[in-house]
Amino acid sequence: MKRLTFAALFITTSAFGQIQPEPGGVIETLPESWPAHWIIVQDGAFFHMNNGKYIVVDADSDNAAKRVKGSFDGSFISQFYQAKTRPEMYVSETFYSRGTRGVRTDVVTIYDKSTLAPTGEIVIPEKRASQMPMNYHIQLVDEEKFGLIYNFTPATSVSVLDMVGKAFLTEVPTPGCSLVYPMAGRAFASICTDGSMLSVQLDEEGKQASSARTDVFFDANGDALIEKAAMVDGVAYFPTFLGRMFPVDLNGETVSVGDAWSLLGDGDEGWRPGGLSVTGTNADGQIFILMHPDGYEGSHKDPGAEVWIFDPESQQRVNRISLNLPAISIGLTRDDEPLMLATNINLEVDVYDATSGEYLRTLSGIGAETPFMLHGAN
Amino acid sequence: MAVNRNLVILTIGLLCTNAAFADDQKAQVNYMLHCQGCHLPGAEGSAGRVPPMNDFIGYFLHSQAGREFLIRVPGVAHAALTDAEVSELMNWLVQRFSREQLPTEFISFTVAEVNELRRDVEQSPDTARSLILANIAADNPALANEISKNKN
Repeated sequence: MKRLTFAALFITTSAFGQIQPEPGGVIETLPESWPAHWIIVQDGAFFHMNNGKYIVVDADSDNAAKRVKGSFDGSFISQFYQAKTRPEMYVSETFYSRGTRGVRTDVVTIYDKSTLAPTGEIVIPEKRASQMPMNYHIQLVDEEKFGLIYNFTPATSVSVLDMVGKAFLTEVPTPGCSLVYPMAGRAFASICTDGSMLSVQLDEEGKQASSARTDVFFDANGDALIEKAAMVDGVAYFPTFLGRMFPVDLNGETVSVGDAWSLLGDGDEGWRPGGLSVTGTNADGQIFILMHPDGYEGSHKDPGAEVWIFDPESQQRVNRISLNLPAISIGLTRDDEPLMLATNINLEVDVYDATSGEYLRTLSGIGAETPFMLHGAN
Repeated sequence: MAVNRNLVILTIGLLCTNAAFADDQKAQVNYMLHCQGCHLPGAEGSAGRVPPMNDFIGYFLHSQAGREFLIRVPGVAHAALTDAEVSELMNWLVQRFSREQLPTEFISFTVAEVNELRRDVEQSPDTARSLILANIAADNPALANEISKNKN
């Protein structure tokens, strides 16, 4: 009996010692300011668009179980903007009253950076452009007081929002012109199908105060602009299908178009920019562009085999990174030792040292099916 | 000789028909490539978003402002088509989808007219459209009912 009792006690004690009971129902929060190598993977859920998501990932981590920090939602190919002046993120998205059908409602959902919880929403006209994700569908201007949403019904216009009072203000028509490029002050620019750009100045209530059009500067049939511009110090750099680069200065009252320069040097014949999210910038203002060889009419969405890096001041290529696997989208982190992120052709997220070009790791198993865009955390 | 002359006339007639047919086909292909994505194959559009052109667009040609609007509207003015292609397309389009609504004295769009009008892109298409239709309805009471049915 004694021996049995001892044995039983031993087992009990040992079990008690090994298994620490964990408290359930604990919801962790994230810091308001995120480490520079955390990224936001924008999964458009291309094959079931009503439940896209944004996955916050530590791109430095090799630990697949621990690198995912959390996620939040985006319905029907949503568009994304990270605020710089407050710990908020904005998702413009679409809902239908019966899930996949019924009455349409479009909103901008406000997400809190530390809880990843929706803290509010702004109902907007149900005409936001339902198009593949890119940066210039939703932008904030005037020290982030005004929000701008690009609409396409296919009549084009811009919804103007009060991002402080969290309210829809008005709609500005942009006939024949698309997307919103943030300008200095309370203004935006749009790119027009005739090869010009439109600039619109807004008044205090968000209404159009004035507008101006540039001369026609590109040929949409001969050598179209890739609308995914790289933004450096208020200048939008637009690559063209054939490998030129147009600097478009958005710092003034109106748009000022500079002379185009070539991305191609001697021996670069046949290389073209292409992909889904084609450009990125680092903290030094260098421009990263996905490039593919043997370009042809229609290859502007082809995956890139290399990323070329340009100094927009000298208009010279300063580096080229040969990718581990060809990629459709790139993104960069904000810091001085940046990572370059690339969605490869297997739709996995590859991480490179953006300075040396060294391949570091693949962020597999993070739950992203179609990671269309990769955002470095602000 | 008489027979020969008839043959010549017949041949010329056939050539003309073929040429017109080729133009129509080209206009239709351009409609498919540049317009029908939103306006749909039957030009019926979508309620509240894309105005219907079928059994309607002809009303615009009852006023000079309406005629100009059809070329100045951004989708037409900015289309990736030459002036000749636009005039060909528009002449085909109004007759294909809205012959009944055309004025009896319909005059075809000319290349020079398209060239001039498309440079002056309409900046407020919605407002301009409503105003033009209201004026046409006011000037043509017989059409007012039909126009008001499809104002949007």
